[in-house]
Amino acid sequence: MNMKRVYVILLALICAVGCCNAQLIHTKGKMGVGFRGGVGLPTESSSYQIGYNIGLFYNLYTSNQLGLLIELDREKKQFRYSDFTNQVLLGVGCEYAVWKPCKWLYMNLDLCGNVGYDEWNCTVMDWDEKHLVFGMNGGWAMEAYPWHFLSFVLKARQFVLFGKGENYLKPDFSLGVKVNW
Amino acid sequence: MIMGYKGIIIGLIGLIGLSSCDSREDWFELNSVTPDLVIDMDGVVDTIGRHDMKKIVVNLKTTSCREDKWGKWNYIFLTDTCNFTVRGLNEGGNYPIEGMFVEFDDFYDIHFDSEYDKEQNILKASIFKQIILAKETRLLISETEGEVINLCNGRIKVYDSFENMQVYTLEINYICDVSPTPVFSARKIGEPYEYLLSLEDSYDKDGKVLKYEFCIDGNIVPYNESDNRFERDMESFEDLEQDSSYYPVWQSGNAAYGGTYVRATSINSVNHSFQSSGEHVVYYRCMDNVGVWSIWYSQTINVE
Repeated sequence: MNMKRVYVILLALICAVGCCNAQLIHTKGKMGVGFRGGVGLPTESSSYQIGYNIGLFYNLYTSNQLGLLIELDREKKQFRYSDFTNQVLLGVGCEYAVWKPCKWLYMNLDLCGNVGYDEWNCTVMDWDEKHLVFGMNGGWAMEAYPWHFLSFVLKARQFVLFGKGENYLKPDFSLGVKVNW
Repeated sequence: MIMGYKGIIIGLIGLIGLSSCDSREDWFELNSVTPDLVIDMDGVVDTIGRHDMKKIVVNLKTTSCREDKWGKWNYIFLTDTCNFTVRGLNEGGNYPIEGMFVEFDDFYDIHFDSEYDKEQNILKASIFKQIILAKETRLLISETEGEVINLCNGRIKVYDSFENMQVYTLEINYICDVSPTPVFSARKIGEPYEYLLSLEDSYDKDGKVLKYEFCIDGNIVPYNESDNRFERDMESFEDLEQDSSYYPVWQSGNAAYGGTYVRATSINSVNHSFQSSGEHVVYYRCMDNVGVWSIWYSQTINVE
Protein backbone atom coordinates (compact mmCIF):
# COMPACT_ATOMS: atom_id res chain seq x y z
CA MET A 1 0.00 0.00 0.00
CA ASN A 2 1.35 3.46 -0.90
CA MET A 3 0.36 5.55 2.07
CA LYS A 4 1.50 8.73 0.45
CA ARG A 5 -1.03 8.33 -2.32
CA VAL A 6 -3.76 7.58 0.17
CA TYR A 7 -3.05 10.83 2.00
CA VAL A 8 -3.14 12.81 -1.26
CA ILE A 9 -6.49 11.30 -2.13
CA LEU A 10 -7.96 12.11 1.26
CA LEU A 11 -6.66 15.67 1.08
CA ALA A 12 -8.09 16.14 -2.40
CA LEU A 13 -11.48 14.88 -1.30
CA ILE A 14 -11.53 17.12 1.77
CA CYS A 15 -10.68 20.14 -0.40
CA ALA A 16 -13.40 19.21 -2.83
CA VAL A 17 -15.95 19.16 -0.02
CA GLY A 18 -14.77 22.49 1.34
CA CYS A 19 -14.94 24.45 -1.86
CA CYS A 20 -18.27 23.28 -3.21
CA ASN A 21 -21.64 24.82 -2.82
CA ALA A 22 -24.31 22.12 -2.66
CA GLN A 23 -27.89 22.77 -3.69
CA LEU A 24 -29.69 19.47 -3.82
CA ILE A 25 -33.05 18.04 -4.83
CA HIS A 26 -32.65 14.90 -2.82
CA THR A 27 -35.18 14.97 -0.04
CA LYS A 28 -35.80 12.95 3.02
CA GLY A 29 -37.44 9.64 2.28
CA LYS A 30 -36.34 9.34 -1.34
CA MET A 31 -34.76 6.05 -2.23
CA GLY A 32 -33.31 4.27 -5.19
CA VAL A 33 -32.02 0.88 -6.30
CA GLY A 34 -29.37 0.47 -8.90
CA PHE A 35 -27.18 -1.98 -10.76
CA ARG A 36 -23.57 -1.34 -11.69
CA GLY A 37 -20.88 -2.97 -13.71
CA GLY A 38 -17.26 -2.07 -13.79
CA VAL A 39 -13.62 -2.98 -14.11
CA GLY A 40 -10.55 -3.02 -11.95
CA LEU A 41 -6.98 -2.14 -12.79
CA PRO A 42 -4.31 -4.13 -14.60
CA THR A 43 -1.36 -5.05 -12.43
CA GLU A 44 1.83 -6.99 -12.90
CA SER A 45 0.68 -9.72 -10.53
CA SER A 46 -2.43 -10.23 -12.59
CA SER A 47 -0.46 -10.34 -15.82
CA TYR A 48 -2.07 -7.00 -16.57
CA GLN A 49 -5.58 -8.43 -16.73
CA ILE A 50 -8.37 -6.08 -15.65
CA GLY A 51 -11.08 -8.34 -14.34
CA TYR A 52 -14.64 -7.22 -13.85
CA ASN A 53 -17.07 -6.46 -11.07
CA ILE A 54 -20.84 -6.19 -10.82
CA GLY A 55 -23.04 -5.01 -8.03
CA LEU A 56 -26.29 -3.75 -6.65
CA PHE A 57 -26.70 -0.65 -4.57
CA TYR A 58 -29.43 0.98 -2.57
CA ASN A 59 -29.86 4.59 -1.45
CA LEU A 60 -32.13 5.99 1.22
CA TYR A 61 -31.87 9.73 1.65
CA THR A 62 -32.29 10.98 5.19
CA SER A 63 -31.84 14.63 4.34
CA ASN A 64 -31.02 16.88 1.40
CA GLN A 65 -27.40 15.90 1.44
CA LEU A 66 -26.99 12.77 3.45
CA GLY A 67 -28.24 9.29 2.78
CA LEU A 68 -27.78 5.64 3.64
CA LEU A 69 -25.87 3.56 1.13
CA ILE A 70 -25.89 -0.22 0.93
CA GLU A 71 -23.79 -2.00 -1.70
CA LEU A 72 -23.45 -5.60 -2.73
CA ASP A 73 -20.62 -6.43 -5.13
CA ARG A 74 -18.94 -9.35 -6.79
CA GLU A 75 -15.61 -9.40 -8.58
CA LYS A 76 -13.65 -11.81 -10.71
CA LYS A 77 -10.06 -11.40 -11.75
CA GLN A 78 -7.30 -13.56 -13.15
CA PHE A 79 -3.88 -13.56 -11.53
CA ARG A 80 -0.65 -15.18 -12.61
CA TYR A 81 -1.26 -18.51 -10.90
CA SER A 82 -4.83 -18.25 -9.76
CA ASP A 83 -8.41 -17.26 -10.41
CA PHE A 84 -9.61 -14.73 -7.90
CA THR A 85 -13.28 -14.37 -7.04
CA ASN A 86 -14.65 -12.00 -4.51
CA GLN A 87 -17.85 -13.97 -4.05
CA VAL A 88 -19.63 -11.24 -2.20
CA LEU A 89 -18.70 -7.89 -0.70
CA LEU A 90 -21.28 -6.11 1.42
CA GLY A 91 -20.84 -2.44 2.09
CA VAL A 92 -22.90 -0.31 4.44
CA GLY A 93 -22.28 3.37 4.90
CA CYS A 94 -23.36 6.85 4.09
CA GLU A 95 -23.39 8.95 0.98
CA TYR A 96 -22.99 12.70 1.02
CA ALA A 97 -24.00 14.85 -1.93
CA VAL A 98 -21.34 17.52 -1.82
CA TRP A 99 -22.09 19.49 -4.93
CA LYS A 100 -24.68 20.04 -7.59
CA PRO A 101 -23.06 21.85 -10.52
CA CYS A 102 -26.31 21.94 -12.45
CA LYS A 103 -29.92 20.93 -12.19
CA TRP A 104 -29.41 17.30 -13.25
CA LEU A 105 -25.94 16.52 -11.98
CA TYR A 106 -24.69 15.57 -8.52
CA MET A 107 -21.28 14.83 -7.14
CA ASN A 108 -21.39 12.39 -4.25
CA LEU A 109 -18.85 11.11 -1.80
CA ASP A 110 -19.43 8.01 0.25
CA LEU A 111 -17.79 5.98 2.95
CA CYS A 112 -18.71 2.37 3.73
CA GLY A 113 -17.62 -0.46 5.94
CA ASN A 114 -17.19 -3.79 4.16
CA VAL A 115 -17.34 -7.46 4.87
CA GLY A 116 -16.87 -10.05 2.20
CA TYR A 117 -15.61 -13.45 1.12
CA ASP A 118 -12.59 -13.98 -1.10
CA GLU A 119 -11.75 -17.14 -2.97
CA TRP A 120 -8.46 -17.96 -4.70
CA ASN A 121 -8.24 -21.02 -6.94
CA CYS A 122 -4.79 -22.03 -8.04
CA THR A 123 -4.59 -22.74 -11.75
CA VAL A 124 -1.31 -24.65 -11.69
CA MET A 125 -2.06 -27.15 -8.97
CA ASP A 126 -4.84 -28.48 -6.83
CA TRP A 127 -4.92 -25.76 -4.19
CA ASP A 128 -7.42 -23.16 -3.13
CA GLU A 129 -7.81 -20.55 -0.45
CA LYS A 130 -11.01 -19.06 0.95
CA HIS A 131 -11.38 -16.55 3.72
CA LEU A 132 -13.38 -13.61 4.99
CA VAL A 133 -12.25 -10.07 4.42
CA PHE A 134 -13.08 -6.90 6.29
CA GLY A 135 -12.42 -3.30 5.57
CA MET A 136 -13.81 -0.09 4.20
CA ASN A 137 -14.05 1.86 1.01
CA GLY A 138 -14.34 5.44 -0.08
CA GLY A 139 -16.10 6.44 -3.27
CA TRP A 140 -16.48 9.38 -5.56
CA ALA A 141 -19.39 9.45 -7.96
CA MET A 142 -21.05 11.64 -10.55
CA GLU A 143 -24.79 11.06 -10.76
CA ALA A 144 -26.80 12.32 -13.71
CA TYR A 145 -30.60 12.60 -13.73
CA PRO A 146 -32.02 12.66 -17.24
CA TRP A 147 -35.37 11.96 -15.60
CA HIS A 148 -36.40 12.25 -11.98
CA PHE A 149 -37.00 8.51 -11.70
CA LEU A 150 -33.82 7.37 -13.40
CA SER A 151 -30.21 8.28 -12.88
CA PHE A 152 -26.83 7.16 -14.16
CA VAL A 153 -23.93 6.86 -11.76
CA LEU A 154 -20.30 6.98 -12.76
CA LYS A 155 -18.29 5.91 -9.78
CA ALA A 156 -14.73 5.36 -8.62
CA ARG A 157 -14.04 3.53 -5.38
CA GLN A 158 -10.98 2.53 -3.43
CA PHE A 159 -11.20 -0.41 -1.06
CA VAL A 160 -8.93 -1.18 1.84
CA LEU A 161 -9.48 -4.79 2.86
CA PHE A 162 -7.97 -7.08 5.45
CA GLY A 163 -8.15 -10.85 5.53
CA LYS A 164 -6.13 -13.77 6.95
CA GLY A 165 -3.16 -11.74 8.01
CA GLU A 166 -2.93 -9.79 4.78
CA ASN A 167 -4.28 -6.52 3.50
CA TYR A 168 -4.69 -4.99 0.11
CA LEU A 169 -5.94 -1.99 -1.80
CA LYS A 170 -8.47 -2.50 -4.54
CA PRO A 171 -9.88 0.18 -6.83
CA ASP A 172 -12.81 -0.18 -9.15
CA PHE A 173 -14.50 1.97 -11.70
CA SER A 174 -18.11 1.40 -12.59
CA LEU A 175 -21.09 2.69 -14.44
CA GLY A 176 -24.52 2.09 -12.97
CA VAL A 177 -28.18 2.85 -13.54
CA LYS A 178 -30.54 3.61 -10.66
CA VAL A 179 -34.26 3.71 -10.38
CA ASN A 180 -35.47 6.35 -7.92
CA TRP A 181 -38.76 6.94 -6.18
CA MET B 1 -18.93 28.94 -11.16
CA ILE B 2 -15.15 29.02 -10.75
CA MET B 3 -15.45 27.35 -7.42
CA GLY B 4 -17.65 24.75 -9.07
CA TYR B 5 -15.05 23.90 -11.68
CA LYS B 6 -12.43 23.77 -8.94
CA GLY B 7 -14.45 21.08 -7.29
CA ILE B 8 -14.47 19.03 -10.49
CA ILE B 9 -10.74 19.38 -10.91
CA ILE B 10 -10.01 18.31 -7.36
CA GLY B 11 -12.35 15.41 -7.77
CA LEU B 12 -10.53 14.34 -10.90
CA ILE B 13 -7.23 14.54 -9.05
CA GLY B 14 -8.65 12.17 -6.52
CA LEU B 15 -9.72 9.86 -9.32
CA ILE B 16 -6.23 9.82 -10.77
CA GLY B 17 -4.84 8.98 -7.34
CA LEU B 18 -7.23 6.09 -7.07
CA SER B 19 -6.20 4.70 -10.40
CA SER B 20 -2.78 3.55 -9.26
CA CYS B 21 -3.67 1.66 -6.12
CA ASP B 22 -4.27 -2.03 -6.63
CA SER B 23 -1.86 -3.76 -4.31
CA ARG B 24 -3.16 -7.31 -4.64
CA GLU B 25 -0.69 -10.05 -5.45
CA ASP B 26 -1.30 -13.62 -6.39
CA TRP B 27 -2.10 -15.45 -3.17
CA PHE B 28 -0.22 -18.62 -4.06
CA GLU B 29 2.82 -16.84 -5.37
CA LEU B 30 2.92 -14.93 -2.12
CA ASN B 31 2.32 -17.88 0.15
CA SER B 32 4.12 -20.70 -1.66
CA VAL B 33 7.17 -22.02 0.09
CA THR B 34 10.29 -23.61 -1.19
CA PRO B 35 9.13 -27.09 -2.11
CA ASP B 36 10.41 -30.38 -0.74
CA LEU B 37 11.18 -33.23 -3.04
CA VAL B 38 9.26 -36.42 -2.39
CA ILE B 39 11.28 -39.36 -3.56
CA ASP B 40 10.49 -42.98 -4.15
CA MET B 41 13.63 -45.05 -4.31
CA ASP B 42 14.88 -48.45 -3.55
CA GLY B 43 17.14 -48.43 -0.61
CA VAL B 44 17.40 -46.12 2.32
CA VAL B 45 16.72 -42.51 1.70
CA ASP B 46 17.55 -39.67 3.99
CA THR B 47 16.68 -36.10 3.25
CA ILE B 48 18.63 -33.77 5.41
CA GLY B 49 17.67 -30.14 5.49
CA ARG B 50 19.66 -27.34 6.92
CA HIS B 51 18.72 -23.77 6.09
CA ASP B 52 18.70 -23.66 2.33
CA MET B 53 21.00 -26.62 1.88
CA LYS B 54 19.32 -29.92 1.32
CA LYS B 55 20.98 -33.26 0.86
CA ILE B 56 19.62 -36.57 -0.21
CA VAL B 57 21.60 -39.60 0.82
CA VAL B 58 20.71 -42.86 -0.82
CA ASN B 59 22.28 -46.05 0.43
CA LEU B 60 21.70 -48.99 -1.82
CA LYS B 61 22.30 -52.58 -0.83
CA THR B 62 24.23 -54.32 -3.52
CA THR B 63 25.16 -57.90 -4.05
CA SER B 64 27.81 -57.30 -6.66
CA CYS B 65 30.30 -56.00 -4.20
CA ARG B 66 32.78 -58.67 -3.40
CA GLU B 67 36.31 -58.98 -2.41
CA ASP B 68 38.02 -61.57 -4.45
CA LYS B 69 41.42 -63.06 -4.20
CA TRP B 70 42.78 -63.88 -7.58
CA GLY B 71 46.38 -64.35 -7.55
CA LYS B 72 47.84 -61.17 -6.22
CA TRP B 73 44.89 -58.99 -7.13
CA ASN B 74 42.21 -57.58 -4.92
CA TYR B 75 39.43 -56.05 -6.91
CA ILE B 76 35.81 -55.18 -6.61
CA PHE B 77 33.27 -54.65 -9.29
CA LEU B 78 30.23 -52.54 -8.63
CA THR B 79 27.77 -52.93 -11.43
CA ASP B 80 24.31 -52.01 -10.52
CA THR B 81 21.50 -49.64 -11.31
CA CYS B 82 18.98 -47.80 -9.25
CA ASN B 83 15.72 -46.14 -10.05
CA PHE B 84 15.31 -42.61 -8.87
CA THR B 85 11.65 -41.94 -8.81
CA VAL B 86 10.52 -38.45 -7.92
CA ARG B 87 6.89 -38.60 -7.00
CA GLY B 88 6.41 -34.88 -6.75
CA LEU B 89 6.89 -31.89 -4.58
CA ASN B 90 5.48 -31.23 -1.17
CA GLU B 91 4.30 -27.64 -1.20
CA GLY B 92 3.00 -26.73 2.20
CA GLY B 93 1.10 -29.95 2.53
CA ASN B 94 -0.27 -29.89 -0.99
CA TYR B 95 1.17 -32.71 -3.01
CA PRO B 96 1.96 -33.43 -5.73
CA ILE B 97 2.59 -30.28 -7.65
CA GLU B 98 1.89 -30.11 -11.31
CA GLY B 99 4.30 -28.49 -13.63
CA MET B 100 7.34 -29.55 -11.61
CA PHE B 101 10.61 -29.40 -13.40
CA VAL B 102 13.66 -31.31 -12.26
CA GLU B 103 17.11 -30.67 -13.55
CA PHE B 104 19.98 -33.01 -12.86
CA ASP B 105 23.16 -31.14 -12.71
CA ASP B 106 26.77 -31.88 -12.06
CA PHE B 107 26.68 -35.64 -12.27
CA TYR B 108 30.02 -36.87 -13.37
CA ASP B 109 31.46 -40.19 -14.25
CA ILE B 110 28.12 -41.89 -14.46
CA HIS B 111 25.60 -42.70 -17.09
CA PHE B 112 22.27 -41.10 -16.36
CA ASP B 113 18.95 -41.53 -18.11
CA SER B 114 15.81 -39.72 -17.16
CA GLU B 115 12.22 -39.99 -18.16
CA TYR B 116 9.65 -37.56 -16.83
CA ASP B 117 6.04 -38.68 -16.81
CA LYS B 118 4.08 -35.45 -16.68
CA GLU B 119 0.72 -37.05 -16.09
CA GLN B 120 1.84 -39.07 -13.11
CA ASN B 121 4.40 -36.56 -12.01
CA ILE B 122 7.11 -39.17 -11.76
CA LEU B 123 10.70 -38.82 -12.82
CA LYS B 124 12.47 -42.11 -13.36
CA ALA B 125 16.18 -42.22 -13.66
CA SER B 126 18.68 -45.00 -13.97
CA ILE B 127 22.16 -44.57 -12.68
CA PHE B 128 24.88 -46.94 -13.72
CA LYS B 129 28.46 -47.03 -12.63
CA GLN B 130 31.24 -49.53 -12.61
CA ILE B 131 34.09 -49.17 -10.20
CA ILE B 132 37.24 -51.15 -10.18
CA LEU B 133 39.23 -50.61 -7.07
CA ALA B 134 42.94 -51.04 -7.16
CA LYS B 135 44.86 -53.67 -5.32
CA GLU B 136 45.77 -51.44 -2.43
CA THR B 137 42.12 -50.68 -1.68
CA ARG B 138 40.72 -53.31 0.59
CA LEU B 139 37.10 -53.82 1.37
CA LEU B 140 36.48 -53.95 5.06
CA ILE B 141 33.41 -55.74 6.22
CA SER B 142 32.14 -54.67 9.58
CA GLU B 143 30.31 -56.86 12.02
CA THR B 144 26.80 -56.08 10.92
CA GLU B 145 27.12 -53.99 7.80
CA GLY B 146 29.27 -53.95 4.76
CA GLU B 147 31.41 -51.06 3.73
CA VAL B 148 29.65 -48.00 2.39
CA ILE B 149 31.19 -47.10 -0.92
CA ASN B 150 30.34 -43.74 -2.37
CA LEU B 151 29.06 -44.22 -5.87
CA CYS B 152 28.32 -40.79 -7.17
CA ASN B 153 27.52 -37.27 -6.16
CA GLY B 154 25.54 -34.68 -7.92
CA ARG B 155 23.13 -31.82 -7.68
CA ILE B 156 19.45 -31.65 -8.40
CA LYS B 157 17.60 -28.43 -9.04
CA VAL B 158 13.88 -28.55 -8.63
CA TYR B 159 11.52 -25.88 -9.83
CA ASP B 160 7.89 -25.76 -8.85
CA SER B 161 4.99 -24.15 -10.64
CA PHE B 162 5.54 -20.86 -8.84
CA GLU B 163 9.17 -20.65 -9.98
CA ASN B 164 10.49 -21.42 -6.54
CA MET B 165 13.72 -23.39 -6.73
CA GLN B 166 15.28 -25.83 -4.35
CA VAL B 167 18.73 -27.27 -4.76
CA TYR B 168 19.57 -30.71 -3.47
CA THR B 169 22.88 -32.45 -3.38
CA LEU B 170 22.49 -36.11 -4.09
CA GLU B 171 24.81 -38.74 -2.70
CA ILE B 172 24.37 -42.32 -3.78
CA ASN B 173 26.26 -44.99 -1.91
CA TYR B 174 26.50 -48.71 -2.06
CA ILE B 175 26.39 -50.82 1.04
CA CYS B 176 28.10 -54.08 0.39
CA ASP B 177 26.29 -57.09 1.64
CA VAL B 178 27.86 -59.18 4.35
CA SER B 179 27.99 -62.75 3.19
CA PRO B 180 26.42 -65.36 5.46
CA THR B 181 28.38 -67.67 7.73
CA PRO B 182 27.61 -71.40 7.58
CA VAL B 183 27.90 -73.34 10.84
CA PHE B 184 28.26 -77.06 10.29
CA SER B 185 27.53 -80.01 12.50
CA ALA B 186 27.39 -83.74 11.88
CA ARG B 187 26.09 -86.63 13.93
CA LYS B 188 25.40 -90.25 13.36
CA ILE B 189 21.74 -91.16 13.13
CA GLY B 190 21.75 -94.68 11.79
CA GLU B 191 23.72 -97.77 10.80
CA PRO B 192 26.01 -98.46 9.26
CA TYR B 193 27.21 -95.00 8.17
CA GLU B 194 24.18 -92.73 8.13
CA TYR B 195 24.84 -89.22 9.27
CA LEU B 196 22.83 -86.05 9.68
CA LEU B 197 24.73 -83.15 8.17
CA SER B 198 23.32 -79.88 9.41
CA LEU B 199 23.76 -76.17 8.73
CA GLU B 200 20.97 -75.25 11.09
CA ASP B 201 23.02 -72.76 13.07
CA SER B 202 24.14 -70.77 10.07
CA TYR B 203 23.56 -67.06 10.24
CA ASP B 204 23.76 -63.84 8.26
CA LYS B 205 24.78 -60.68 10.07
CA ASP B 206 22.79 -58.31 7.88
CA GLY B 207 19.95 -60.56 6.79
CA LYS B 208 18.91 -64.17 6.91
CA VAL B 209 20.04 -67.45 5.40
CA LEU B 210 17.80 -68.88 2.71
CA LYS B 211 19.67 -71.64 0.87
CA TYR B 212 22.25 -74.29 1.65
CA GLU B 213 24.61 -76.46 -0.38
CA PHE B 214 26.61 -79.54 0.44
CA CYS B 215 29.30 -81.32 -1.52
CA ILE B 216 30.15 -84.66 0.03
CA ASP B 217 33.25 -86.47 -1.02
CA GLY B 218 33.47 -84.28 -4.11
CA ASN B 219 35.41 -81.25 -5.25
CA ILE B 220 34.57 -77.61 -5.24
CA VAL B 221 35.57 -75.03 -7.78
CA PRO B 222 38.59 -73.53 -6.10
CA TYR B 223 37.51 -69.99 -6.98
CA ASN B 224 35.46 -70.06 -3.85
CA GLU B 225 37.95 -71.58 -1.52
CA SER B 226 39.07 -69.72 1.52
CA ASP B 227 42.63 -70.73 0.81
CA ASN B 228 44.02 -69.78 -2.51
CA ARG B 229 44.43 -72.79 -4.74
CA PHE B 230 43.36 -70.97 -7.85
CA GLU B 231 46.72 -70.83 -9.47
CA ARG B 232 47.22 -74.56 -9.06
CA ASP B 233 43.84 -75.58 -10.40
CA MET B 234 43.16 -72.89 -12.97
CA GLU B 235 44.01 -74.86 -16.09
CA SER B 236 41.47 -77.53 -15.21
CA PHE B 237 38.66 -75.09 -15.49
CA GLU B 238 39.61 -73.04 -18.51
CA ASP B 239 36.42 -73.86 -20.31
CA LEU B 240 34.24 -72.78 -17.41
CA GLU B 241 32.88 -69.31 -18.06
CA GLN B 242 32.40 -66.70 -15.43
CA ASP B 243 29.18 -64.91 -14.89
CA SER B 244 28.90 -61.98 -17.24
CA SER B 245 28.69 -59.57 -14.36
CA TYR B 246 31.95 -60.87 -12.97
CA TYR B 247 30.16 -62.24 -9.99
CA PRO B 248 33.05 -63.89 -8.24
CA VAL B 249 31.24 -66.69 -6.46
CA TRP B 250 30.08 -69.61 -8.50
CA GLN B 251 26.34 -69.96 -8.69
CA SER B 252 24.50 -73.04 -7.63
CA GLY B 253 25.11 -75.98 -9.90
CA ASN B 254 28.54 -74.82 -11.06
CA ALA B 255 30.25 -74.51 -7.75
CA ALA B 256 31.22 -78.13 -7.21
CA TYR B 257 31.54 -81.42 -9.00
CA GLY B 258 31.88 -85.06 -8.20
CA GLY B 259 30.72 -86.80 -5.07
CA THR B 260 27.27 -85.94 -3.81
CA TYR B 261 26.43 -82.35 -4.65
CA VAL B 262 23.28 -81.13 -2.95
CA ARG B 263 22.38 -77.99 -4.83
CA ALA B 264 20.71 -74.92 -3.37
CA THR B 265 18.20 -76.34 -0.97
CA SER B 266 16.10 -74.48 1.52
CA ILE B 267 16.39 -77.41 3.89
CA ASN B 268 19.23 -76.79 6.30
CA SER B 269 20.20 -80.42 6.87
CA VAL B 270 20.62 -83.59 4.85
CA ASN B 271 20.73 -87.25 5.73
CA HIS B 272 23.64 -88.93 4.01
CA SER B 273 24.82 -92.54 4.05
CA PHE B 274 28.52 -92.83 3.55
CA GLN B 275 29.73 -95.83 1.55
CA SER B 276 32.61 -96.64 3.85
CA SER B 277 34.17 -95.76 7.09
CA GLY B 278 37.14 -93.49 7.37
CA GLU B 279 37.74 -89.84 6.68
CA HIS B 280 35.27 -88.02 4.45
CA VAL B 281 35.37 -84.38 3.40
CA VAL B 282 32.19 -82.39 3.42
CA TYR B 283 32.12 -78.98 1.77
CA TYR B 284 29.30 -76.62 2.68
CA ARG B 285 28.12 -73.09 2.09
CA CYS B 286 24.96 -71.00 2.39
CA MET B 287 23.21 -68.10 0.70
CA ASP B 288 21.54 -65.07 2.28
CA ASN B 289 18.35 -63.25 1.42
CA VAL B 290 19.98 -60.97 -1.17
CA GLY B 291 21.49 -63.90 -3.07
CA VAL B 292 25.02 -63.73 -1.79
CA TRP B 293 26.72 -67.08 -1.27
CA SER B 294 29.35 -67.62 1.33
CA ILE B 295 32.60 -69.18 0.30
CA TRP B 296 32.96 -72.96 0.60
CA TYR B 297 34.04 -74.32 3.94
CA SER B 298 35.05 -77.88 4.61
CA GLN B 299 35.11 -80.31 7.44
CA THR B 300 36.57 -83.73 7.62
CA ILE B 301 34.33 -86.31 9.26
CA ASN B 302 35.71 -89.50 10.68
CA VAL B 303 33.00 -92.03 9.85
CA GLU B 304 32.95 -95.08 12.05
